[in-house]
Amino acid sequence: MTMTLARPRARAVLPLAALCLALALPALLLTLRDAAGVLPLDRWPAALASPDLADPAELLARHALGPRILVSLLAGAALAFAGTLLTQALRNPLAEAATLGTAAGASLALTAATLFAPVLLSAGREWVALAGGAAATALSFALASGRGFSPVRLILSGLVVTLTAGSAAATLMALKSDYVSEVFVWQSGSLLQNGDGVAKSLAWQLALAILATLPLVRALAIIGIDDRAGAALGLSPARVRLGTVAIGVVLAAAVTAGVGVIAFLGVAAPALARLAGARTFKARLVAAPLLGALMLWLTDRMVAALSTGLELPAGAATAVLGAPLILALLPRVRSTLPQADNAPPAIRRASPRLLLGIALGILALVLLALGFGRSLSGWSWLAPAQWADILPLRAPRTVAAAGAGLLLGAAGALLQRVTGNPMASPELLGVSGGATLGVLALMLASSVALGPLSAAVCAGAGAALATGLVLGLGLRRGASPDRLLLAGFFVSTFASSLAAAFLASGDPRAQWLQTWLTGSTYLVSGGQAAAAALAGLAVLALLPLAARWLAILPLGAPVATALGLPVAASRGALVALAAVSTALAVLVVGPLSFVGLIAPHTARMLGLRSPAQEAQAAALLAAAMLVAADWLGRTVIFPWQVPAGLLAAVLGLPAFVWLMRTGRA
Amino acid sequence: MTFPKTGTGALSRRAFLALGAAGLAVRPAFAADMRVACVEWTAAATLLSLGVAPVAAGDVPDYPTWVVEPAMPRSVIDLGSRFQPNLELLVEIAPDLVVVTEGYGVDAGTFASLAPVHTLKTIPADGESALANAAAEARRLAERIDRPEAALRLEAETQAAFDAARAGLAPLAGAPVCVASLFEERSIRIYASGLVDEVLDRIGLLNAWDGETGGWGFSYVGIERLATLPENTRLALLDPLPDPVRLRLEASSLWANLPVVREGRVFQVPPVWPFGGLDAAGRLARILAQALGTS
Repeated sequence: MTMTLARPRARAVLPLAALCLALALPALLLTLRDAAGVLPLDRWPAALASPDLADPAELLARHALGPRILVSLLAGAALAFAGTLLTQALRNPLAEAATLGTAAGASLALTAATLFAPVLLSAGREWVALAGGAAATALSFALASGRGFSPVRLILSGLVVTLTAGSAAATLMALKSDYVSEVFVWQSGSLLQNGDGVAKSLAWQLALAILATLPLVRALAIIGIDDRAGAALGLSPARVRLGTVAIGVVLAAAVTAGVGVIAFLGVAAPALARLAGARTFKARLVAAPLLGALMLWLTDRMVAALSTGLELPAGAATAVLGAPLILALLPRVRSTLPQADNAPPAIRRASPRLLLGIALGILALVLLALGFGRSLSGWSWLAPAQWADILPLRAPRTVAAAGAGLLLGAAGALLQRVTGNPMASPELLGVSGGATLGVLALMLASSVALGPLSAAVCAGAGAALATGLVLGLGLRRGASPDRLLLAGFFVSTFASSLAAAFLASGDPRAQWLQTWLTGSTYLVSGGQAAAAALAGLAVLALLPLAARWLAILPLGAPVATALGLPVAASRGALVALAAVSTALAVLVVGPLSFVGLIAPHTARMLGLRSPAQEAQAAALLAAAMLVAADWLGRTVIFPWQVPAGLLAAVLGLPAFVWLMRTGRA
Repeated sequence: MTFPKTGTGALSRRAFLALGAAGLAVRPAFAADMRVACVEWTAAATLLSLGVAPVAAGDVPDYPTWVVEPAMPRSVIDLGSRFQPNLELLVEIAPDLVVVTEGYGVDAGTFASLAPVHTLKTIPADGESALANAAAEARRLAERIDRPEAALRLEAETQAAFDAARAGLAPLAGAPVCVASLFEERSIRIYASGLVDEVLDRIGLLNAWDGETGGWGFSYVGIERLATLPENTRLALLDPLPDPVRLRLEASSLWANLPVVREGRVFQVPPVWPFGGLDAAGRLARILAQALGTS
């Protein structure tokens, strides 16, 4: 009896032990090497127990390298523990601090406090981080629960919140540029330690979280399988979930406060634990933190070993290592995700006059943006005598914003139709992230300043590659809409982590990158503006040609095939059009704006539900939003300026949450 | 007939400048009238130290926090971010000259169609002296605004500041000093080469830091690296040092036990713009002499 029980258990433990050994051995060797570099190994035990602090070597052993190793283990374990709780409670293999918006919210709160109200930080970073992290997580949940609640939707809501919080933080930093690299070093998850303070607080925070989890473990193990089974046992699934999510969020926010944002570990560790044979929740609760601790330990030591002077922060490194891992895991993960919710394929003819009205409204808005503004003497209309001086400055920005809006709005509407997912948008598909990666690749490969042309070429190439990658992963098994979006999500996160690492590097070109990332029309030339506008108008004109595809595709592949539609080809063509549009727009307004997500919803809210009209209206509305954002950005805090892309994101998200909540979209 | 006062002034000034350009030998008389806009602080401070107040400058509100001297008059119009100065405002101000700083976000081409442009070079070429570059750049700007004598005076003042500091620091001659800024409590920005390094040399001190640097002449490293500074190194921390950072630094067991901290050799000194010109170099010499001279 005992024999038969023992055998499967031994089989389950074997791959896990092998994996742990594979992680721990190189980490240990690197650590021994680094430790010997600080202090002869035989003196370490004494230095840790009762250090002679007057000896710099013993000081560094006891208060720098020692705590750093400990923090890498503790932070890794804590993030993996939080990730295990969140994935189980939400029955969502991709739920963790970075995907639910927790880390970004905590990071935004800390950035804002650092720049504008440092006095808030005197009492400790944890409280500020917790407030921001909890608020952002609540926002993700609110956004996801508008109409029906699904794991995919939660992750996408979390991404919207994450990207918006990132935009808001970038806006703040654009206004206080002198701290940029310092804030980014911390944001990108540096494990540098200046004593044992962080290690101590992480230790008790993790211990408290474990204690708080103990009474929930049994209930969670059952809930992970089925709510009804839990209810039959007399549990309140909602309460158990809420309590578990709270523990996970608080723990993750505490880690963010201590060491910054370390992405993907909370997802990667539980996923690896499962792959290594930890099939039950209880087994993962032990195995995942163990793996998480070892993974961060190894990552941090590898980063230290590879660094020459300026060190890549460990948080950025986990993103770089973790993103491909997650992408590789996606096909497996997919099977455990429930179906995505489909946009209702309602078809109703709206009056063409409405479309005309929107177009006229935009014309009026453009005239306002060109003519009305602020100067030394206050708000005023441009006098004809000033036209020759001021219009060459204003017109390219306004026209570029309008053109980029047309492109993004059309792309958003196309993607939402094709994927049948109301959360689809160019920002979330990873196309924008790909453009960012293209520019970063050029900056890393050469040390010259970037010209607009080389940046354009690289952004375009990056966007094309990312789209290809996302499509390749997403379409491999029958064009599943969710997988497409999830793959895009990881491309976006990967790009932003890498960008943060570059901004932290102290490279003088970081400022240029920052300007571009924040989506400012400041440097747009007349030629670029005209190109964006022409491309936008061309896409607008192409949309009616795709009306039939757009109407039939959301009905699902079987129906579409039955109606004689070449499903894969039509999807491919529409997604390619969306990708090209996005790449062109991103060059002008940067990778973040969200008008591509919001505008199609606004169009539907206005009653434009026939596919081609919806897409055209979405394009026009997105143009209006970006023109308005650009105008506001130029005037509100004159003579300072807020980038249009950021302003559109920061103002757009609350509007979007409201739309989703009221269920009118 | 009456015109708005500013309008007439501008007209007559333009007319006079046109005359000057036509070759009349009365240029020094107009020089004081030259309306110069500066995109960032090094240009503004250099202009001020040449005795001319800019008509407008980038990020005026933060100048007193980071640069302090020479004081910026209240009349200077804020152009907005130093990396994205407001171009419409610049056109409205219609300066006679815009001073753009190389390697600072916006490039000179952006302004070429709006106003005459002068490009200031603050980062010396490889192997070139930062002080020599700063002096040459001050001279070039002084000539551009028709005040060549002001550059000579600035150079003399800077040299005098070096001499006075060197004399005051004579008891410390050759002592190792490390100049740094702290913006968060785990990492430190140490000025390794360039202006700060050369000023230390001129006033008879030794830059204790010889670590790796980036393009701007500083190293950004963990504070644990301070443990291995040469013995008796004095650490000069430039303001602004945010209060929460100072508090968390004091709570740090590593910081509290660093030799330089335990032995009381940390000096918090007023702000100096480390990427500045001759004026910043003179200010650094004065501030170091004052802070370290009595130690």
